[in-house]
Amino acid sequence: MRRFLIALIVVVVAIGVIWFMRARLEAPPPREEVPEAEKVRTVTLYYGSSDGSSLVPEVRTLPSQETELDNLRTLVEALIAGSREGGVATIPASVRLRGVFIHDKTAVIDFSDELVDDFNGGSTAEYILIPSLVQTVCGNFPQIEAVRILVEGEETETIGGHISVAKPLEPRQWR
Amino acid sequence: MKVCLAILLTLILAGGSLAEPAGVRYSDGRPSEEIDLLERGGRAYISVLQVSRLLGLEVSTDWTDQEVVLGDGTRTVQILIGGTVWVRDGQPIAAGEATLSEGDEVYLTLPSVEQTLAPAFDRNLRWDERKRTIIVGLPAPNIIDIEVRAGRERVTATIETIGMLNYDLYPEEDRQVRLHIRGGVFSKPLGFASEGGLIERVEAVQQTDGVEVTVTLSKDGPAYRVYPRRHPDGIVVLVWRRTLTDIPEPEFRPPSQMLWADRFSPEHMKLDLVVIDPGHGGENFGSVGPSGYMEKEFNLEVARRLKTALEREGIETILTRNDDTFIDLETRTEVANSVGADLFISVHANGYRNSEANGFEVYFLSPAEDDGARTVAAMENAGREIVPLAAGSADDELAFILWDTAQNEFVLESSNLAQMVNEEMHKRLTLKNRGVKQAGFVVLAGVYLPAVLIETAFITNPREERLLKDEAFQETVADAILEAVLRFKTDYGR
Repeated sequence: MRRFLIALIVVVVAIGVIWFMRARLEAPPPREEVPEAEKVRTVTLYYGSSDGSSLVPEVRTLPSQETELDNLRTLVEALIAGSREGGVATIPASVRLRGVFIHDKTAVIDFSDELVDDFNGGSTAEYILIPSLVQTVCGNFPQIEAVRILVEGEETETIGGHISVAKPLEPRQWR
Repeated sequence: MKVCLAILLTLILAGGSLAEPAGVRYSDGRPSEEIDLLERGGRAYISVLQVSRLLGLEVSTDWTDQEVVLGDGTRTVQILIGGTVWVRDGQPIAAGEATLSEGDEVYLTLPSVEQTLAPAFDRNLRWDERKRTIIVGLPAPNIIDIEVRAGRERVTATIETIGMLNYDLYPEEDRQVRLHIRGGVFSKPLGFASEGGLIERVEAVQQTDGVEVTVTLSKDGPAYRVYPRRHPDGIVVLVWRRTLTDIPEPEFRPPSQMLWADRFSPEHMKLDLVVIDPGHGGENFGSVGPSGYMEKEFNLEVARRLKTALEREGIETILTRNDDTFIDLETRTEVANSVGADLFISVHANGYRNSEANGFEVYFLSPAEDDGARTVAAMENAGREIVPLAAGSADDELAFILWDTAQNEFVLESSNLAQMVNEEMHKRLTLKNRGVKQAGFVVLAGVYLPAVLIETAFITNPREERLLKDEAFQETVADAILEAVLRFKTDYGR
């Protein structure tokens, strides 16, 4: 009787697990894969407000990566992918992240040239892109004090032709 | 008891005609002293004898004719005792207040001495009522310092003054720019010298009617301009390298036969040359609207209309581009600098990823608030060091920082112009007013003159895109900017 009960529990659990796995496989894949067994971290992403005059914070859960650099990469990729809560994306969705590295407390972020080519914005779009990126990076990585933007591996004077991004951008100045 | 009351009554009847001490300070080095003033009805009176001593005048009192005569050997002033009309050298002069006579003494109010008697003899006496002090001699120094900020491409020499002082600017002669600051007084000898700088030497000489400042320019003949500055007050001599030959585009043709020195001589201080910068161009479309209208097209349309409107008002206008070609940002600023323009206006249409965003806004350049600015501030606090020019040396970084902050000279004028453009647009357009803003614009950072950037409306907003395409709207925008320029011209007396 006791053995039967244990066997029954095992079978029920097994069926449950299989059912769960199937359900997971059939469900539309979430935009960010967060494998259950893995560590996650919550971050705050900053998007543009509807009129482009301020930032809108959005708390998100991202998989925790092995290195800080990978965490930074995941964070910036999530920012590029856009808001889920109605914030206005600040970086064109077509932009690829070519690489990130941290040098002397400055995050150097290398974007593909779609950042410039697909920008299609005025001063307002450009003026919100910078704080959106700088606050997202520096707000989630306290050890990072400034952000430097590269396009196709090279320093660039401006993204949309208005505002200078030639110097490292500090969160104090870009709120 | 009765005696006490009597004494008290006497004191009250005297009505405050008690002698009250006041300090006297001399600006020519004589030791300070204390004298007695007469207090009557809440007013301070000084005896004629004391006044004549303080101002070094001769005095005679004629009790028969009821008049006092003061003189300095060449001029005389007659004061009728009890009257208000004073006579200098036979001519009545604006009178002070009624005199007072008590005992054998005639008294004058201190304001009448300050405003009428002392000026009649070209003397200077000031009464500081709050501190109860009479100051005799030259006016207090009103030129504090001359500060030279040096960079590779430009140098500013700022004559720091207390209040705005008027000056006469003489045309450049033998590389020397001379200005006479009327009524200027400095507290210490001021000057500056640097080998190989754009400014070789600054000298200030105290004269009886003001201070003469001579700025010696370097041998390669840089361009310069002199203009007054408000808050903090001063006179700025801005010198920068001429780069006339660097202008590549033919449409930037500088006004012909115009000599650089002429442009900055007093009669050319007036606002008569504006550079309009239609944003983007060529393969750089700027923002593109939902129906495909491109920002670069709108910018050029408004710029051309504004040029026509300004020229109708007699203001010469140069466009950084007059067709659909791409001009890099550096060249745009170069145009404004090299032709010695008085204003720089960059015309844009806005764009945002949310098509609902709408309205107009006007930008001017943020003053530098980076580490560089802090370094300079710290240096200044540490003793106002003058940094010599050091082209190509290890001081390059520092020179760059100083050059960077020198651009801040125009922040005030730019913000005023931005405010005026915003107000004029607000009056004429039914769009949302997003205000006047500051940002680190590349195209504004390089120009050495008041500069603004206008984001007219959102081309990414379908309703505003239709407006931007509309010729009447374009004309209205040009009209608003024109009015702002004319207001600026009037306000600055140019």
